[in-house]
Amino acid sequence: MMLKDRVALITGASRGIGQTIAELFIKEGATVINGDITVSGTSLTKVADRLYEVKLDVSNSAGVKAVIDAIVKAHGKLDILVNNAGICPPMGPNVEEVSQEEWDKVLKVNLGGMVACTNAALPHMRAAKFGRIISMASIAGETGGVASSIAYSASKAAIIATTKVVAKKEGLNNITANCIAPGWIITEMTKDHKQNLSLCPMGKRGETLDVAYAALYLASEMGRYITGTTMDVNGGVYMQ
Amino acid sequence: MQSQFCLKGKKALITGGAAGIGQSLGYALASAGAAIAVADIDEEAARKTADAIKAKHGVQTTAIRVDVTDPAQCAAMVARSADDLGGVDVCVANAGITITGVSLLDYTPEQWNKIMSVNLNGVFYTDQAAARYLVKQGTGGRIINMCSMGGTIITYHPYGASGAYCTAKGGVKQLTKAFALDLAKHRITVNCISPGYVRTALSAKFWEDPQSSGDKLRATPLGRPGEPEDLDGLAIYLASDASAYMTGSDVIIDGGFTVI
Repeated sequence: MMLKDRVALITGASRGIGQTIAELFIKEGATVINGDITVSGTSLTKVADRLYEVKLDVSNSAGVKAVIDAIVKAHGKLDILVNNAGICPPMGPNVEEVSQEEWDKVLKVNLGGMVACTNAALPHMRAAKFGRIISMASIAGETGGVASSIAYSASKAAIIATTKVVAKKEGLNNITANCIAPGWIITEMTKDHKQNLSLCPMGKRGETLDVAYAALYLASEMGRYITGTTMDVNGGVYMQ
Repeated sequence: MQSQFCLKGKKALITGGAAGIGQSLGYALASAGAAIAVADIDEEAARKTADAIKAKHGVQTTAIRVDVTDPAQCAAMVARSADDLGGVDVCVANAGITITGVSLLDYTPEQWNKIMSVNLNGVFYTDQAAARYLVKQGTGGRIINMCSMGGTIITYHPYGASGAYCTAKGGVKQLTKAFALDLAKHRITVNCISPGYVRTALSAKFWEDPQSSGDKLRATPLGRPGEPEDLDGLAIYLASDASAYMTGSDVIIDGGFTVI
């Protein structure tokens, strides 16, 4: 049990990578709260052993703070925050054809959501002198993705930089902040993306569990001295 | 240990395994269940480490003398390791040396070649010998190269930068990616671990100096020096089935020092 007695909030854990991380963390002994916009109940609800869910719109910072404060009130602490919630509209025919509305929404959910959750979690983590913040970046944020909206790549690059700032400022409080940059992982969100597998040294798309294991490493005692880093889980598509 | 991180039944070979980080990694992989071949230029020290790991974790171990600057010895090391442990699944190319306090202006060709020959050529010979064996064995595998944050930045000490060391480590980083590409189709992943300032015998002088240690600690967000054990988790992760889709990566583990 690598996460025994840990309390983790995973945003966007109703499906895809977030869901797999939640399952793995529970298996490893953590109590997991799935904060997802698709959940209907606005108060913390127990749905299975050590699994709770709550409606969470990460783009609403006041709502985020209320949910995180409620988690700490109910469970006594928040050890691990996985900033996973994100949206990924497809790229249009031309780069410039991203609408203002799309740009604002993607930045607000992907980057704003990561910042809002991190901001709301930090005071609790600082007080407890323990925190693990794991944020989903993307290979698109490192190399410039062309399957997804330009706003998606921009938001993911910004998450990497934001993570480094948090890592620098909060290290002495025993709070680590790291990113995972998944490559071409098969999920509901990305299933229609066309990838040229001849560009992937390992010749296949990854599974959500491949990403979840990296998250488990970062969240567990194994990851105690690593901070500010982006772990690439991409089958070798991009080696930095 | 979570099953995907479990190394039971795996056989791991570690060069420079008799001291410092290499020795610590031997204990770490053994703690997850792997059999360990401790390869080192100091055969007696390798034997002592192999025995101690066996005593502590109850895994099969063996000790092998190797000078990694000799490709023939590297091939023989892999063969010996496979013979003694019944195969090789994980190879950690860790052996390395350093020279500090010498400006690049003053390096002799001998000093330069010595660093390159152990820290870069030695990794190539080790990886190549392991890769040839792993490809033939046909069951995939893991190669982990010990790089350094000096492969990305130039580490600076009050008594001089480690120019040759960092240059060699920069080479290790590229070599890792090149091997990753070549070996991906064989389901062999190749990654490197880049520690920051870690307290070992190799860096003792650095930590004894209050000026240098104080400067570095102030610039380390986690506020403490790394210990060899801080690398355990990453090594286990990279050696295990959990990292099956990760290849060609350089993971810096430095308490945030290079977060720039």
